[in-house]
Amino acid sequence: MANLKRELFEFYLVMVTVLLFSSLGIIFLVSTFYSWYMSLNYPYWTNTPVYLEYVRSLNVIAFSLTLILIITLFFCLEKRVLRIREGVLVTIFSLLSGFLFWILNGVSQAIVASMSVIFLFYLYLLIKLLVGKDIRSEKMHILEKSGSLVLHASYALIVMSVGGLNEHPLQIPFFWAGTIFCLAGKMLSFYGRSTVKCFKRFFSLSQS
Amino acid sequence: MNLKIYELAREMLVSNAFLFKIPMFILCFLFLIVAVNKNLRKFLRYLLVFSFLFLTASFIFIIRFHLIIHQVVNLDTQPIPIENIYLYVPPWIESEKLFFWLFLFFFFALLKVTNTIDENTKIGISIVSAIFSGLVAIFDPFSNPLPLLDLEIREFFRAISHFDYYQIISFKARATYLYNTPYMWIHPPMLFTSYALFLLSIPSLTMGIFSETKKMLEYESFSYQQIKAGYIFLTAGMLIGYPWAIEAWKGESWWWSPKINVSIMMWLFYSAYIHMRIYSGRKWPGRLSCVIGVVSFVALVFTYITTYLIPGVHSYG
Repeated sequence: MANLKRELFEFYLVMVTVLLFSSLGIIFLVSTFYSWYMSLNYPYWTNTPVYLEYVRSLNVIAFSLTLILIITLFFCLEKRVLRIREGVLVTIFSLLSGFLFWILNGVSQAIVASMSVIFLFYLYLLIKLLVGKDIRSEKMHILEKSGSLVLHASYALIVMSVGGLNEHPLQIPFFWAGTIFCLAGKMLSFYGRSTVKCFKRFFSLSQS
Repeated sequence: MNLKIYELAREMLVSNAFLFKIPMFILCFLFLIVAVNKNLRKFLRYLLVFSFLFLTASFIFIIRFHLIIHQVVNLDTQPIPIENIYLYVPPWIESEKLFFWLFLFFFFALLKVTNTIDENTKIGISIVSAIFSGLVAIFDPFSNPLPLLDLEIREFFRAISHFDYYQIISFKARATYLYNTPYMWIHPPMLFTSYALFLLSIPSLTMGIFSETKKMLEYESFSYQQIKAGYIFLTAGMLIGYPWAIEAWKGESWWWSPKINVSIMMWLFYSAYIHMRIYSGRKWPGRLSCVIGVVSFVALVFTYITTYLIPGVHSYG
């Protein structure tokens, strides 16, 4: 019964993720049509306050949905490495720190604060996974398991770099770190078994 | 003198464009025949080999034209006190985009079309090949090679003859950030690789929607093999473009510009597909993942067209 419940929870979690990705996609589509309509009717609209308002509202909508998406992706890890209680605690801590920084220093620092909390927690999970403590599914190889962890961590890093570190000297280094994490995560998630085989072959060759 | 060499090279491509157009129309027709005739379907692989070789040969002419541009568009023979300009124009810009997309599609189709592949998938790949061969025959890269760059090059030569330093320097700036940047050699090829793989997935995705469950799962699985590889290239290509965008469009408002928007939209839809795909082994989630895959491809086509349709920093519209 408990297994069935967990399976159902994971299924709905994936459905919510799909819905969030699609909703964000639709927002980008609608904004494109709006932008097209405006450029046809008011060719210099990007120099007007209407454009600034358009950018501001889209930033707010897109960022809110992205934040929900990142938190949802966080819980998608549940079955492998994350305990649901830990997840809830880190989410609350991330949102609270974001809120605090928003009041004190503005939106950019709020993004950096909440994404940093999530990213650091991903790092903690990754280290825990690599040193082999408290791994819940023993069937998969450690590299395969770390795939989605590294991938989801990269999203936090990229959102932090794009949304929070604008024109900061650390923006590009953080962005490249996010890109490397993202690609490594995708390779491990999609081609985990082949990667593991390559690693094993490489190590057996280097040992012999 | 340099302008004459450039014009001659361009004129050679334009006057011989029919040598590309006619075979492409014939290929389009042959792919259609292979799609409708069961007995001729065994020749699909040979047709793909021939098409790939033909596009490779045509690509050599495109590269040659780019090399001539590199050799002649500079200040080597001019008494102008400005640091020299050399153009390194990648062979997948402007009118060459669709050609390059099809070139990569044929390459991946060749790897995938084997005897073990399902008959309906073969029909689908033949139809897609026919449509794209027809499109490339119509919008070929030879009838009007690099129209925007051509205007820039002519303006550059005019500026040299009139000692118009302002124009020469502004051409140099555009060359640095637009044509010569290393990103241009990485960002577009990665995106076109992903587009080619996504195009290869579309026949089986479409058939997956309308097939019974067992067949649908097979089609979905075949599509997924292409999409997951394409998704890695798409993500890498888009991410690599970001630092370049910051540098090239400094001071401009580009984040919510149409082309950027639709590109992110496409990536989001493919991300939705990848996540939906986790439950594709079940009946309705599997079918829904096929639907999301098709919607994502429509988003891809829209993204491609947006470049030419809607004005913005990343468009010709």
